[in-house]
Amino acid sequence: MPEWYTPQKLNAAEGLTEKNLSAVATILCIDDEALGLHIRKTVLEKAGYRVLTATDGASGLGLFDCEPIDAVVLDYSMPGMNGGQVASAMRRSKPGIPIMLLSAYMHLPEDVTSEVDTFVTKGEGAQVLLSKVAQLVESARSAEGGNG
Amino acid sequence: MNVRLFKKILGQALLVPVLLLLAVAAALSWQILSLVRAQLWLDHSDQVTAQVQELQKLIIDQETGLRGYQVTSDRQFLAPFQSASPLVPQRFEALRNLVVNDPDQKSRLSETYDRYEIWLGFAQRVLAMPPDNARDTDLNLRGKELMDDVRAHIQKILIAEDRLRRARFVAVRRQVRSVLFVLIGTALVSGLLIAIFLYSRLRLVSSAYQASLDEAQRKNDELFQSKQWFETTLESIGDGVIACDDQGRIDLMNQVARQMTGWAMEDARGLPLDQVFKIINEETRQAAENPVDKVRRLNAVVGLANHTLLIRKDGTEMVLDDSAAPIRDSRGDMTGIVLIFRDVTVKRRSDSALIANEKLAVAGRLAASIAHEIHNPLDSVANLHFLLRSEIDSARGHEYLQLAEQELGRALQISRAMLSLYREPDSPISVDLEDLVESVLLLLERKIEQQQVTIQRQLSVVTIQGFPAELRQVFTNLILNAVDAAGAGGSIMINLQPETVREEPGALIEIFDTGPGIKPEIEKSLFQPFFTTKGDKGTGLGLWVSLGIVQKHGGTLDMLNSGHDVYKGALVRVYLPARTDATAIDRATVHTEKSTAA
Repeated sequence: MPEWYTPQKLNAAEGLTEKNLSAVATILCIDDEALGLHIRKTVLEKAGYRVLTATDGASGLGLFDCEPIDAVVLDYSMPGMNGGQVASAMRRSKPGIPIMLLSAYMHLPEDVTSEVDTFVTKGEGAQVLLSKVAQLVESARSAEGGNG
Repeated sequence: MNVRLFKKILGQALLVPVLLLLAVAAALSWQILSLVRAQLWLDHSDQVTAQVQELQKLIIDQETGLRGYQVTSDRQFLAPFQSASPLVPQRFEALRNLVVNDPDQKSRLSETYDRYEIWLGFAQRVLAMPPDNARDTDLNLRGKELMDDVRAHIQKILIAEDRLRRARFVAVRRQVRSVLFVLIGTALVSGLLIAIFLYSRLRLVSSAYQASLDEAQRKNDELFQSKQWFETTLESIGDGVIACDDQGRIDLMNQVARQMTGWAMEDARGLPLDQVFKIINEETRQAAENPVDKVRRLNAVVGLANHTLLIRKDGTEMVLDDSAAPIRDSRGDMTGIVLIFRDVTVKRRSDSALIANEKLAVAGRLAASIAHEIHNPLDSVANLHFLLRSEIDSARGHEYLQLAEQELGRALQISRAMLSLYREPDSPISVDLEDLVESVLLLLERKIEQQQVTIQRQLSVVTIQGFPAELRQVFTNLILNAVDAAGAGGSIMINLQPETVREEPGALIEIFDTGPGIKPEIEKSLFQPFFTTKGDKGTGLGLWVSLGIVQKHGGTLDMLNSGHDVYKGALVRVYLPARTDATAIDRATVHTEKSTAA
């Protein structure tokens, strides 16, 4: 892994470490494609998010349960548990947290897409990713605020 | 009826009348003999009567002589007496011999002789007397009495003989009637018997003849029916059929054969086969071996070589699939040759379509994983592009570019592997099988991972000649089948090593899986087109096309249950020879009986 690639270095470069962490939304990214995952993390961090990563469903669920998470960006196609199964497990433990499903496939089964909040095809570009993540975080925050 | 029986009847018809006629002749002969005997007895009576009358005349002559002497005393009158004297006893003796078998007549004769002796004694006394004494009346009367007695006895004999004669005459007449009766009777009876016998024999022969006629007619009918049956069958079948005699001259062509060759039966009959059935090799355009010669040479059923073209009478061409077989008589000698062929131009096209279809189906099976393999690097590249736009640090920008290049390279590799499934050289090229299997696995990696199947591989470096795209298709199919069979949590093992089969060096690829193995009921259907165990997910063409490609390379493809300790499921064994005579246009379809017959 290149040296610049560590979150600390990246955050330092962007000067984000000084920001109020409580104001920074935490995104959990799960993808078995390590390189793609880290590039995605870089994009999200550059946009000001705190990013946690996992390369498989099981470790992703571990982070999801013990860390404060605002939104999840989840790859569908993974060995072991696929994105649909991970999303179901997440819904069972913390149903309020929004989930975005990423996939290289154009068409996913409906029972999978109905489980998640939004669905993005890989390769649509960083802007689409960021705007959808922003929407998810916004909606989660407002729902939280509304609830009290 | 067989000839022996017929000859027997003929013999009987000849012998029985002859025997019967012989019997008739015997009966008639016996009857005629009886008649002759009766006639002899009649003659005998006449003889006796004649002799008696002769005797009587002699005795009367003697008496007349004696009387004359008595009246005249002249010894001259004694001449008749003297001349008859020696004759009378002779007559008596002759008569005695004649009636020796008739005691009544015999006693009458001896009584007559006694009376004659008495009269003779009297006559001698008279002759001894002085002539004057002899003239005495009493003496004359005495003589007359004695002579009357003699005459009366002679008369008795005559009367008795006459009675006998009459009885014998009646017997003769009776015998004549009997002969007639026997003659007519036996003629009638034997005629009737012969007629009945011959009638019965003739009935036998005639019914046998009728039966033979009926049988011949029945056989004729059957033959006609069977001929009709065969002709209709021949005319109705969809394959061309040409029958030749043992010299290879055409006897018969069915409708399809006439259509396909463009020859009418009347034009083709008697012509040598190669004038009508002109076949050439599709590639070399050289005349193909005359099937008649080939059958005669091998004395067995033969198939045509692959790529045989038939040149029709009008010069157009069609692709043929055919076989030729010897026709043998009951002793097993070849009496002709029958040729069966069909136009496979359309089949060739539809096979090609199926093969092309299966190529697309392989692409379909890979589509999901290809999409994944390409979208993932594209996603990274898109993200890197976003980062680059706002990146001011040139060193970091350079790193982003390097990463993007790396991800693009990955996408390109996948796309090349995908394309190499389709791009094919014109002739076989050197193929590194290890490399080829690895590149197939690269395409399949994602799918295999997703299905949570693990892969073990032991690949040696083996290079063969072949068509890489087709071989990739084969291994894509076989590995995907194994992955499907192994299922989630299962594993497959791929071995590649050099192998020599029938002194032909080559490569052996074995694919084991931990699946359920091959069920015996589907074993035979595995390589049939459109046979699938995967429902809508399979085309049923994968193994069929794979076998065709392997056979085209001169190799073999077998599927069996492995019997392996760990990989207990199916085992696919592919042998590929190091050198191949395959050409790009070789049929990749499965050929079964052809390969062994040709």
